[in-house]
Amino acid sequence: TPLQALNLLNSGFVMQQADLLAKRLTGEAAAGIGPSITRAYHLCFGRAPTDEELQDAAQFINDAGLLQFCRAMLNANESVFIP
Amino acid sequence: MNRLLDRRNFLGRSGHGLAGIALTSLLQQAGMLAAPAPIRPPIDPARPFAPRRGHFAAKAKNVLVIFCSGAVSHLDTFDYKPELLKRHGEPMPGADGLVTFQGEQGNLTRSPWDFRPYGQSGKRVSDLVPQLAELVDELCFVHSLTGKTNTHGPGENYMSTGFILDGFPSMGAWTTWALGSENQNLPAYVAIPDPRGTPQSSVNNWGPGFLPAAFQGTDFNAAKPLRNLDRPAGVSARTDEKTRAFLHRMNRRHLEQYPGDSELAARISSYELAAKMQLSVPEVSDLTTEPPSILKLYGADDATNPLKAAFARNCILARRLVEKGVRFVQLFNGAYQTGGEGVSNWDGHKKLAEQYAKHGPVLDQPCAALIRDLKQRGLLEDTLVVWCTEFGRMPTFQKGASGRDHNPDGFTGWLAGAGVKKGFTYGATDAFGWKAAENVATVHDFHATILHLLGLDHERLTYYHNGLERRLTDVHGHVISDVLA
Repeated sequence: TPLQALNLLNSGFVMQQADLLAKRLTGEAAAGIGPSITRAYHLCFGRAPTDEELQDAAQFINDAGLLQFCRAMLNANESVFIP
Repeated sequence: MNRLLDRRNFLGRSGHGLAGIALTSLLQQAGMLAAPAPIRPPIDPARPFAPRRGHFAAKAKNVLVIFCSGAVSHLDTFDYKPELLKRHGEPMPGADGLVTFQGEQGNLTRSPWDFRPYGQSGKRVSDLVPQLAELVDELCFVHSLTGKTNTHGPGENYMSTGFILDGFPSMGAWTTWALGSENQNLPAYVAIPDPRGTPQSSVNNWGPGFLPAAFQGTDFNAAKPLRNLDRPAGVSARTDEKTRAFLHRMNRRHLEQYPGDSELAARISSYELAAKMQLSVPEVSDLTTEPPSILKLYGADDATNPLKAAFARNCILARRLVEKGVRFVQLFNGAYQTGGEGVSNWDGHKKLAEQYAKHGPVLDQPCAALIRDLKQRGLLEDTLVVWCTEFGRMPTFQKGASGRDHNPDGFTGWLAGAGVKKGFTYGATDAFGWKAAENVATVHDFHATILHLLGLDHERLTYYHNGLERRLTDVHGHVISDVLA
């Protein structure tokens, strides 16, 4: 529902989790954006990103930062919902 | 124990099953089944709130429910009983040794407020609600409602969902599931809690039950905006937009792997509605664009009564939502958690005169203004207004107290607007106002009537859940055709 969407997008709790995820990526992955994205895909979706996903995410992180990337990952249907 | 089903038995048993299905289908076609065939709303998961047609032509496009929580005494508001004046202070005949919710009964007690006739209909209404009284020629009273419980939470559930237990879909959820909404930028179903808080069964009053969660009511009021509506601190509008776009791309790619998955499509659509609501909800809740004359009409500028002013702002919000085409609006008057037993609601057990003297003015002017305002904007033509409460109260005062106990055996609700008679009274309680005596109606009948006005057959608006075709009206309810215009 839109209420759930608003909560996942904007609540303090989810932002805190996104921040913790970002810190974890920085600590666990090798330097550079690529390894962070791959680590995030493994942690959130249990798989490696495709080339297209890697490229899209790298561009997005350059533009909006790692925290916003983590926020989006936690909101993604693939992490929230099993079809 | 572990005997496998052999071929002969398999064919035999499945044959019975198939014959049963075939028979059901034949009987249904012949119209011989007790239950008429369900009509499922054609819901596109990617647009769950798209407007949909009902079962037949509707008189009302949308509904505004004014729910007074705590159980309003019909005897001190809309149900005039001269016999209470005559026999004030006497024991109630037939009530010997009667024990109600909180205990024993004292004597018959007249209302502390006088009743006087209003309008062309000459309907008598109490001085507690003089401005609503001025509107009697617009209202359609049902004085013979009966409930199933004398406890608040279950009573609220019964009025809002048709069942006394938690977990059933609310009337607004059924309505929006069936009909969608006329506005795709706002929630289809909004619940407006009282400034003092929520009623006793709280969110269950606007819950979706087993219907898809999208049809849950969204709750916010003029003072308390929707939670998590603002983007997180430190995130600029531009960054926020980029993040949403990135998220959308991820979800699209994911959806491509599961083509036609309705749950995923529904999730994407709720993010889209969430994004629209970030603009539309602050806009609809922003009452600064209302002229002083409107604030005055509702009493939203009443500095002497901040509670009334706060409730008045909720009433203005309700009108704005109706105006925007929101299908179902539920406006609450009275709350539980900030003061039960009549402090913050209509539960006048022990100090009825003192407590109602506070609650009357909070409800009266704002609520009357809401109906007047809907009328002057032509919105009453398409909008059904429903005034209700969980049950009524006793004609006697409680033993040793100055208030009335719960009474589910006879109470009042009223309708106004689209499709109902004006200045009309249906049903009556007995001489004291204790039990419904004439044209006795159930809450199920009330619900069946409301759905009928929305163009919905309450027997065919069903949802298959746990082996049953569930309805708002359970297995009961008849449209009260006498109240239809």
